[in-house]
Amino acid sequence: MMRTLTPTCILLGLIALPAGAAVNNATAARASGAITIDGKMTEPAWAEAPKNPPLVSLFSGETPPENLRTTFKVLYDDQGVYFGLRGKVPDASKIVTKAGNVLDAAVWGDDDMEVFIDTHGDRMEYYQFAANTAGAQCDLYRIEGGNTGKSGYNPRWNVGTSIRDKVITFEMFIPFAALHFRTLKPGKQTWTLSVARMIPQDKKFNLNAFNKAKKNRGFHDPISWGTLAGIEVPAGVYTFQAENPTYATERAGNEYRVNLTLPVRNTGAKPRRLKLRATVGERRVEKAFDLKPGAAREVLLPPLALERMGKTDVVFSLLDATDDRPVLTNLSRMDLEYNPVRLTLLKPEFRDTIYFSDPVDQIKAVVAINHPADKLANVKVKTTLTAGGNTIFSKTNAPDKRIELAIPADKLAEGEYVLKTSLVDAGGKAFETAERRILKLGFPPGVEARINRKMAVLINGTPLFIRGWYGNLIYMVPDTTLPGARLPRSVNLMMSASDSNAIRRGYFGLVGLSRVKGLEESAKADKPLPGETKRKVIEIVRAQKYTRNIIGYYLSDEPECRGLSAGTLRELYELVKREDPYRLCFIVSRAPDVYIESCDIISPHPYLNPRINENGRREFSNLQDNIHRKMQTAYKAIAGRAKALWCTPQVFSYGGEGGRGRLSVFPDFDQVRWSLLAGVANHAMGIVPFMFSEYWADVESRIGVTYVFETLAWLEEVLVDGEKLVLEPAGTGTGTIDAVAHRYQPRNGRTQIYIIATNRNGQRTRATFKLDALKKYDRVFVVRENRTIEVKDGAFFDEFGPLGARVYTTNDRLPWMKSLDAIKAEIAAAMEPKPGNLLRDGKTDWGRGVNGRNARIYGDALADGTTTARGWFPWYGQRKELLLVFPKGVKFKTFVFYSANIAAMRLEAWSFGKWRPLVDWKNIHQYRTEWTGDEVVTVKVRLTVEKIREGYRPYAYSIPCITEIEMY
Amino acid sequence: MKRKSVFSALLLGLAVASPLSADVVKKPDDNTLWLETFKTDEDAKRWREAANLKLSVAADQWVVEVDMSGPARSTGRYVPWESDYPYLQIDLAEVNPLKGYKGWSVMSASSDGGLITGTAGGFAPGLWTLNLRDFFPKMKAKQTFFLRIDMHGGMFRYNSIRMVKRPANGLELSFATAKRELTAGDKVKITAVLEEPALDVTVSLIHGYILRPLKNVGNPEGYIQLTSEDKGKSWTGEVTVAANLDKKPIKAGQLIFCANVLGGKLRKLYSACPYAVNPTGKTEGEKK
Repeated sequence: MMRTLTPTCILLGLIALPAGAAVNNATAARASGAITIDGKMTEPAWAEAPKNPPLVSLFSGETPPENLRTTFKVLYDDQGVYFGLRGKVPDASKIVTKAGNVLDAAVWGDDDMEVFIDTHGDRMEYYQFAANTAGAQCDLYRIEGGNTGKSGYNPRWNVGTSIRDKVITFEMFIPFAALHFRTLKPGKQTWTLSVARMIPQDKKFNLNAFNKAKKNRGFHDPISWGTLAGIEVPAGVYTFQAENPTYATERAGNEYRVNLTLPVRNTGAKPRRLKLRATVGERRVEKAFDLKPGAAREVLLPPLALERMGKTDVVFSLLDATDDRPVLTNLSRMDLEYNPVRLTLLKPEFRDTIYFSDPVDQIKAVVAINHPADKLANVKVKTTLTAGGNTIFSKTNAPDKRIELAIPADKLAEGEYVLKTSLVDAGGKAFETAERRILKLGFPPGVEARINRKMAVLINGTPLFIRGWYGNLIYMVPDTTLPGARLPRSVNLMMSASDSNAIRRGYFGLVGLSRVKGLEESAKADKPLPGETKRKVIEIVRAQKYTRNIIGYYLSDEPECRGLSAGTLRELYELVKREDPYRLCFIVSRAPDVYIESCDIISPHPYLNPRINENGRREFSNLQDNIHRKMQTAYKAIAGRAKALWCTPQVFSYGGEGGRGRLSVFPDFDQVRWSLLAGVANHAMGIVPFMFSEYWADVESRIGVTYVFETLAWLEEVLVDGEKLVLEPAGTGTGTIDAVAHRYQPRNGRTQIYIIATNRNGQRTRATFKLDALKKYDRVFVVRENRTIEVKDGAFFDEFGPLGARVYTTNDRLPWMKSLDAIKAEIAAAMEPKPGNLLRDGKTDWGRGVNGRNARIYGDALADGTTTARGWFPWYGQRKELLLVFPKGVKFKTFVFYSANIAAMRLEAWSFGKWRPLVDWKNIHQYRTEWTGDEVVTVKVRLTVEKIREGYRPYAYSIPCITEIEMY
Repeated sequence: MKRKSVFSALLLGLAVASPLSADVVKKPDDNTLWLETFKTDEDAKRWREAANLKLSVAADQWVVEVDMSGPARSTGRYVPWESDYPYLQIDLAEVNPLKGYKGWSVMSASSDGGLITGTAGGFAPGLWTLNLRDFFPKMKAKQTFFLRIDMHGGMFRYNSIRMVKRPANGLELSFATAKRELTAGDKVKITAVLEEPALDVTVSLIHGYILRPLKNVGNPEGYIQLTSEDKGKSWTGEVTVAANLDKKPIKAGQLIFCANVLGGKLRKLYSACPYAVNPTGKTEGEKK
């Protein structure tokens, strides 16, 4: 039998390899009858639906055992797509349902079923629909090949679930109207599809999917997905897109009238008569309107009467007016407010707190009255400032739309005050009130960190443009490099420099709170913080009272990735700032608009992942405008308030072969410079690059960051003290430019203009900069380029390459700063072979370990000429032995190594099948250690660490570190 | 569709067996049964799918460019077999990976053939030496067989392909056991032969699927140090299959032996274990 099947065997052999790995594909059929979404799949249409391949283990591709088998079928009709999923469970009593039934519940930790649909088949953007067995839903829209998401996607779709006889069944109905983030293509379609299932009770088959995926991508690996064929989308129906709604509120008796506006766009080819409907519970309003092809319109709905304000789920449905068919549905969770009296503090500007470093003379506030004008007869507006029941200030005004208040504050003692504004009727009775709690702080026991309206962080009253690094002292910096572990020209902020020893070395740091027990669990379920969690948080916060270098708290890292509720994080934020008004709260997030109200500083971290593409060209693996989109979203969300916007661009690359290999690579100088300055050109007031050991391991990254920080250090006064001007540069063709402009007049100096501009989307472009403030100047200087550009009538032009990043100024008194060419020459020189040291002569082939990379080709931090930066610091892997191999052999007489913590080490060379001891160093106390002897000819050199010196820090002392090796 | 096309191509290969077996250099010396050195473009074109694969010769190297969107990702030809010349040697000089899947495998369409070896998740350029007598004991004393090389996601440069009695350079494996499955305790003798002496040879074991190193080889270094008694020309060592070599059984051809040669002309020698390796000695699905 075997012999006759030989060709088949060969094919099977081929299929076993990824190269020929079969991709599962699915087929959908038109539903022959109505489907009820009850989680039973009992309709005849399901029996007739085509069978699809069962799910397999996500990473191994193995088929799970029969008692975990998962199958699915797909049907469709003119309204949408039906997924019927059945999965066996070994023990129905162990089914996990932890996620709360909330909007976008974190169901992926439960027994769930998930469907991923890319309706355009280009594997770049897709919808994810997930539900657990309790029917909790989550829907997401992912972009950039799944790398990141787009917020605000909450379509209306249905799921029904059942558990019977150790089988869980999910029925999902996803209307075409729900697939509106990318306009559906009409007609017969082949979509990209993945179906996935989590099985928490089985470790091996917990992660099941329709196709095997790459390990580092998990479920979000659209490249590996299969297809869904057979669906037919009705032509010319689902052609609409919508943006986030806005609202205005007024009072009507005991109810509120909410005027909702939804921006809508018709991406189709035909004019359409539409109806927009907004529904809250049982109440709804709608409005008919026409929309031409390609046109966008902000549709203002008639007032919707609601009984209460606060978090409100508003379902928007866009209907075809001719047949009432929904063509777009989405839910918006709106935090509705009605403020008949709105009290806004202008001074103090941050957290309603008067800080020691900013002792305001007057509290400045604006009262806005939004009460029906016809009910304001005989009404007065009374404002009081009280402390402990004692009235310190009182003033009565006639009602006006806007009332400006100035309250003397120079004599206020430290403490808490209440500023209250009320509408008072003729009888003196207050009937609408707004109040703010104002805090006046004294001299800080440790440090005082605050933020101003220019988004600058002020530490002890000094405004700073933050230039720091994202990383953790523990695994980034060995003892050996600690004294030098500062980024030149930085403010020396290290995100997790919470260790007391680091603080003594002058780092500003943040204390992490994200791992406090109970926080993540509550945030996932959108529940209030448990008492124990609060107590722990308070304990941590109180412990910082007297520290001088901890400027804030790191509340959460990528909360959007773990489905953490912004509401729970906001509770944490309120708790922390009440406990410690002197320090800031920080969140890193790629959904900055979602979490901005839960922190003081938001730092988007746009991933770009530099790599070498298949044509050998350097590129970013994500869309280059990633920085623009994340930063602008955050900037709009801050909306001029005293919150800080930082940027955490990526100065390393994930995955692949790392280093200077063929796939992912360290960014080169142009990429480093562009990505850092792009953050600034998109309003960042802090640059905290994602850098771990890379700063120390890669010469080009290090030099690149250092020089960009030098530019930013020079611009610091301009950015924190200057006046921001409105500048919208125009680019030709498809090119687009991001830019910020500042006018700055130093004391006793002339006013000058500064512009920081970067290419947004990688398209070559000729950019136009036009600014009234430039009219009195006839030229601008291009910093670091030794170039001037003529300005005519306040405008100038410049050419931008894909990674174009420029700093312009009218200031002709430039400090000495290296030109870009000179920096590149410095990098080239740093990477040039250095004669003498065999490890850097560019000729000697060598590498670390028997399977190591060729250091001559790829570079190695052990021989980068930097004796203060890590070279060998084996945080991962074995820490005893360092093996250097020389495939073509090497001759040397002198061996030098640099280390601050190795006390005893043996040096051996391989000779005729044996290790030959060269030297056994004992009691090493110096940083530089040298051996010189007779010439050694060998192919392997081994360093065996025998003793580590006592560390002055508690954690890294057991890890040997060699910063540099020289062989002559 | 993909399966069908490959299958059809294979049948076509069988049908036109004669032309494809012509023109390798036969018995250029006593040690060599046949040799393909690809000196001209015509040499390259004798291989199947020549047009689709963009076969060419540059600087005495056979260059195969694989278009991942194209119809063909493998090449092959009929070659002579004599059981006295069991060693297939493929000198894979360089691979430039492209986007997407990465993998390379050697197959045979002989009467009891199938996968010989392959690396599915990456490439391993070097001199591959494979004892086909161990892989396919049922091969006749003399016959032809279809040698197929699958290539995915790269541009491949080959120096030569040949079959020899004993390799002049290469990595040989010999087994003390007669069974066709290795289990814990079985020993494998490793011999690296080199025409030009080297100063050091170490051998690492690698799982061919994703080129994952298998470090449980009986010493803390995680590799096998070979020794030489003849001033660096012949290197020998031995490894005992450890029960914790890998968690799962390894298919025949998937346990790869990689010799790192230092101080010599060659850098990397490869061979593959012709037998399945079952370190735990238990069948899949059996509880441990």
